[in-house]
Amino acid sequence: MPTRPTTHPIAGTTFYVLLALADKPRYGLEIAEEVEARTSGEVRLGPGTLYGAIQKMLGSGLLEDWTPPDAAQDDPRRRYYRITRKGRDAVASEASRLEQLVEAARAKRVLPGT
Amino acid sequence: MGSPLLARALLLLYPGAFRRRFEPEWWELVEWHRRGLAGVPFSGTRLALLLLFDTLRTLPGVYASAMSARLRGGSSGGWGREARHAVHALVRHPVFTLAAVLSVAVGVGANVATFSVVNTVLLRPLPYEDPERLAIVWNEFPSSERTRLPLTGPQVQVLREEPDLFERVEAIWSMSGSVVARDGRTAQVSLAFATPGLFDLLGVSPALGRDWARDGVGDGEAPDGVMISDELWRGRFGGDRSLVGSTIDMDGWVVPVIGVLPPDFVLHLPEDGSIPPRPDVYLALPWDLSSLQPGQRYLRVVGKLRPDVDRARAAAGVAAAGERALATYPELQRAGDRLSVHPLHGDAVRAARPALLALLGAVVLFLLLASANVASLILARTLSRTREMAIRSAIGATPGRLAGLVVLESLMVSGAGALLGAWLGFLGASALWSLRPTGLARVSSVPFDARVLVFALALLILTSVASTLASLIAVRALARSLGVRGAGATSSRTARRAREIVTAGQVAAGLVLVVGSALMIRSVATLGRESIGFDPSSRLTFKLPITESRFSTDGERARVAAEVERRVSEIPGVRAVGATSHLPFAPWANWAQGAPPVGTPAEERGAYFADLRAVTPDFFSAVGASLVAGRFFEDSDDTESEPVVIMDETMASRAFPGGDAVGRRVDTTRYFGGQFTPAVATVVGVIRDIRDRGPSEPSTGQVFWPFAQSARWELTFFVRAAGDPAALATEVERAVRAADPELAPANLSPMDDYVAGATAFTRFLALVGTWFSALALLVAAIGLYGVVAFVTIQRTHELGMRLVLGASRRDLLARVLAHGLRVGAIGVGVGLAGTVVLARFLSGLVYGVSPYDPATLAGVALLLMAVAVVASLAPARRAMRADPLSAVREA
Repeated sequence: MPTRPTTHPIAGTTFYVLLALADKPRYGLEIAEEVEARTSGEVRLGPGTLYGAIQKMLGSGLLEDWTPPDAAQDDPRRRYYRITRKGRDAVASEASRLEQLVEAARAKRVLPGT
Repeated sequence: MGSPLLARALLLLYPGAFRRRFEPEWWELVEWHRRGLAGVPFSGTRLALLLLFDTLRTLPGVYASAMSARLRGGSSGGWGREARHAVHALVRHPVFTLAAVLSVAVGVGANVATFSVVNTVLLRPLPYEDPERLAIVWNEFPSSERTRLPLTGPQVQVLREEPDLFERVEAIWSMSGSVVARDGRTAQVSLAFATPGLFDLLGVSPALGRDWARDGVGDGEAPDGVMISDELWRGRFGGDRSLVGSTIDMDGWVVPVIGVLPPDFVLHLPEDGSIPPRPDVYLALPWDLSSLQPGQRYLRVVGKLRPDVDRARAAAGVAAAGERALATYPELQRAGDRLSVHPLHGDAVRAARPALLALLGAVVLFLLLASANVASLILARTLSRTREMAIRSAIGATPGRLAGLVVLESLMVSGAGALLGAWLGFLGASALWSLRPTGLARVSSVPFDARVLVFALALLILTSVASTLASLIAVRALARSLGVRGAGATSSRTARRAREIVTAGQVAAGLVLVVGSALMIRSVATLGRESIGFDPSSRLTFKLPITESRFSTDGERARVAAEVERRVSEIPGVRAVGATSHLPFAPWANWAQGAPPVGTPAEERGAYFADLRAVTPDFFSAVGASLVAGRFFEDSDDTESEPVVIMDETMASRAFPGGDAVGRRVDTTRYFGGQFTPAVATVVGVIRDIRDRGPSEPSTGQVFWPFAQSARWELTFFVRAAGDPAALATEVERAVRAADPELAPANLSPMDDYVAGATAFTRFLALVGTWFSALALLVAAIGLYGVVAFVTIQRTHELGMRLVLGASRRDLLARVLAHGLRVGAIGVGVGLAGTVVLARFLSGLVYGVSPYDPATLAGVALLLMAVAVVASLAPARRAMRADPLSAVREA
């Protein structure tokens, strides 16, 4: 059971980016594509939104730079980002917070199918 | 496709470190978005908007986190904490904060308010179709003082025969009349006679009903029916929609109403063109104007230039057309008419432009002064915080962080000031507008459009940059004094020099503002003293609608005028009564005609234009005119007798330079037998000039007809009262009804009101100028006081030492005063130089005083030096009271 690093909910973009990186390190465009796929095309992150969030998350230690083992073959423009322990904790606590909210919504029958 | 360029520009807005790190990937993402939008309509625009909003939304966050990352190196705590700190620091020093915020707010507010007026009047295009192609054509007489006279019908026809030049040419003319309103009462209205295509040319359609139609009307006939203004329709006919299609009684004729104009419709024509901004009733002129009063210059002509015609070609083409008209029509040949063309908008705001620009210049100067004040305050405040900064530095704040703190504080001050100022400006614009003089009557409101917002934003950036610069200078000085102990003296000298320069600049800007408003005040004073040729006080005026439908012959009109005059003169408290067709200073249509001496060669006739007036015999005594030669009119100068005129001195000396005007004959025009007809008249008298167009405008020559010999349909009475003229109103109404039960006086108002209206613009400028220069003086005085006090405190040690070494206290006083005076004198010198450079912009606005007036310049320079003395006096006295021992100990 992870300890909760923060009680503050994290912003939407941060959550999306952390979630996209939860399974493996990715580079910028890959993150945007993953977010788009996860949200069924609803969310297409703009460059300022994505890199602004990445810069902030790098600063607060939720992400870190990552060099792929076969770096030589990859496009030199691409820089990879990996989720840190702190980032994983943050996304987990946000997910469980959302889960509680969804539970509450179901209990109050605002969601269909319950 | 502009997106790559836009994306590149937007990327440049981000901090350098951010760009260096993310730029390579950035383009990959932009490309991804472009691919995603492929095939969508307006994909380029959508991409551009997406990038724009993305940037605007994220930019503040990126900067905030970049700054907090940078600051984190030096000390703990984020940017937010520093911001709270800065707010606390500002709240703890309310005097500094208020002074700085208010300085910026007043400066920005004045600018936003003035700019929004300038924008409305000068920058916004006229509310017509293709406004940039609209042009106005005037008749010019280079040999005469009159540069702008209306055109004749034949001239309009000739212009219409220039299809390569104009798409179309239309004309308008105005006079006054009366309409029987719904309640049965007769209302005085302004009438405009327009060529039937005028509204189509302007791109204006009636809000109700229709425009004049061409079908079924011969070219030489006027289409039937009138269009009325929204104001008349609502005010006098209760906004009844069925009025369109029915008839109204106008000057005794029954005319059908075919349309109602939109409520916001205004004629944007020059103020001196004698066409009211919002005529009540529009009548149609015939399509073909060539045979209509061919010798009369009465038509104000607006044309729409073809899209490919530039100004030079228009000027050449119109001049050539004027020559052709001259060759074709003998009536024009007699005066040598010459045509000139001007952009309509430029000509319409010609009178207001210099004043508005001068006002804008004054408020910009004022903003500079206020910004300098803020810079000076920031300098002083930063340097007074040496101890606080030293402590922060000792506990690990880097110089960068300290600089950030100071910049943050000053940005908060200028930002708050600018926002408050913008708000004040939006309020102030309406206030300024409500004060607006009649010269701007054609603009009904000051809307705030994108241009005003951009201007306000630019001011915000400007004041922020100025205060940031000032704080950076302060920080440099501070850093030096913190870094190397011995460098303290040098750094404070730098800061002192900076403050002295800023203060001298304030004094200079203050001087320019004070000189400007002193000149305006002197102009107003001169206007007040200026002899307008008559005494307007205790005079009641009213218009009498003697329409030709009721009083069809010259004799009938002359008789009713005489009867009204007799009855009004019998009212107790009335000293004299007279009447004129054209009341001085009244903003109604003018009557200008040639009046050359008989026998003047054709090519010289253009030099003898005069304002013609028809007056009753007692007009001159009621007005208080003075006779220079000959006699006034008598009752015997009537329809039966020989035509006679009286001239003013200006006209007499132009037409008869030998000074023997009386008894000579002129070739002029009168209104006789229902039309304007040429007439040869003998000059029987010469009077001292009466100012007619405005108190500041000397007569350009007037010629008076006896009303009985030129009985126009317009007549304004002039009643000289023993006491308060307004008290006579009821009696006057009764007397008019007694003369003719169906007549009622209109526009009953004291003559003073017309004089006030005519001087309103100059008084308005003087008022606004006085406010700004008073504020400017205050701000400059505060700046001077600040710098002298600051330097004196810094020199406490030096002054104490001087006392110890035997200097007298008087010496100290002199030393401190001399410092204040030196800064003041540099400012005054620079300001005087600036005034001389800027004065030429004022030359059109001042009256009766030169913009380089040495007395004004010297007086204001002395005033500012006196301010410098007063501002330095308090610190100087403090220095004088200094205790030598403690001064030495303190050091």
